[in-house]
Amino acid sequence: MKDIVSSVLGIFLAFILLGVTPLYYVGVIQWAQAETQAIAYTTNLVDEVIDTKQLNDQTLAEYNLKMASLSTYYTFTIERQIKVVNPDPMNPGSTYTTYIVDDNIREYDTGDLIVVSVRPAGLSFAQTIADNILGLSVPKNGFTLPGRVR
Amino acid sequence: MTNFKYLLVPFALFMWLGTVLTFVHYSQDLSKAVQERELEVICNYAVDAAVDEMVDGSSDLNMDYDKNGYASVDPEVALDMFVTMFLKAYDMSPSEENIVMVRSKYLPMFCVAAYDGYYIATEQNVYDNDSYDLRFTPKMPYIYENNGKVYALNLEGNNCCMVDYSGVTDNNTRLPLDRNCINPLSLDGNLKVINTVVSDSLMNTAYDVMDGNVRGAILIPSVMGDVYSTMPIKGITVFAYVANIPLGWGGESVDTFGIGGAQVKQADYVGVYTEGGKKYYQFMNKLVRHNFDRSRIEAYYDSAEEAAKAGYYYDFRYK
Repeated sequence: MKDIVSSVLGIFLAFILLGVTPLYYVGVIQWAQAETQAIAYTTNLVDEVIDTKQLNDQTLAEYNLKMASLSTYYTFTIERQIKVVNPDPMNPGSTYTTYIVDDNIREYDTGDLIVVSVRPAGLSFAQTIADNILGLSVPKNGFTLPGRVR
Repeated sequence: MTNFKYLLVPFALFMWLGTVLTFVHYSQDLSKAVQERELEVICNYAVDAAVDEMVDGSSDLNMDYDKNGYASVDPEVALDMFVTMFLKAYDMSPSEENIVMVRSKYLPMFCVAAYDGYYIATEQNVYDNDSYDLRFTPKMPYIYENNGKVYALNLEGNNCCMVDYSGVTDNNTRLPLDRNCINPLSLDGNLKVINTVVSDSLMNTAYDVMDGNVRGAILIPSVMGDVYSTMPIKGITVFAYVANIPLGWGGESVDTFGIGGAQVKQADYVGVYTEGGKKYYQFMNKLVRHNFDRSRIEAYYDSAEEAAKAGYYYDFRYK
């Protein structure tokens, strides 16, 4: 009886020690790599739009492909925001500033903002196992990069 | 053999615990490094946006061919734009409360280097209670002292302002002021002096503001080289020192320093017109693109803000 308990305990320990904990380590390092690369790819996209004032199909396809090659699954949204200054109806003589979101994300004008927000859509294989068995998770907040078109 | 097994199990558990704790510590550092990188990129974009917005919005360009760097700029515009971009990056709306929060908590120093002087904003107790807000100094000149003469340099390096102290005695305290003095320095030397002045001033201010808790020194080199990846000041430039951002896991804070410059381009004018009894404004380049009839334009303004102040609304049809 005692033998069975100790062997079950031994197998369980070996599983945690040799199987799950390394997966957590792998998961965190994967997250850091993927996040750093995602920042670099997104910076490239935003820089290109800032300099060329347009977002063409080739850039977008390239960005999609690069983001899909990362070990973490990311979703992203691209917004074009136009700065609008209007007279304040309550206080005559003063103004208020808003940013409206425009449908057309392909063409930009000077002063528009491009806002790319990147969010992780789920966990990778290693991260899922570590999260479910040991409850050790990685940061899941993603990032947002706004840029102003010159 | 059984004794060995009983010894091995706690040993293995301790080993496991040790590696897990070490790795948690390591991953905190890793997470902080990644988020620091994010903050750096965000800060750079925000600074670029701030300087572009400020230069685009400067109404009095007053440019001549020998003064292509000259523009009078409003540092408050740059500060507003920086805070707006910063809030957008952290998915917060640029409302009054959020803007005040960023200005008073996370931005201990903000600097704008203009054509013939620079402004530094620091946190000051302005509300008569314990709350702080950023306030700009008056424009401070780029001072260069030589042989009892004090020069106020500018970015172009040609005509500068000079005060002569050399002839001052007890009986004669008159300071001769020359507004069109020939710059004693070469173009390179001029930029070197300006970069040094701003760099020293920023370092002193950062040291005062952070009570000596500055990680490293602020150095703005006068040429871009292999060692420093920082751009020198060659035109209108904005610096932002962002600190105390709580991004680490254990309440650790992150700080970064952003620098951005811009070239002056031509200003974009705003045309206003009335349609169906409503007053509208739109930028001229957009109206031209839509083949707008120019004879209907009633007046031109330098910026959208001025048109809106005069009671005209943004026209969404020609965006």
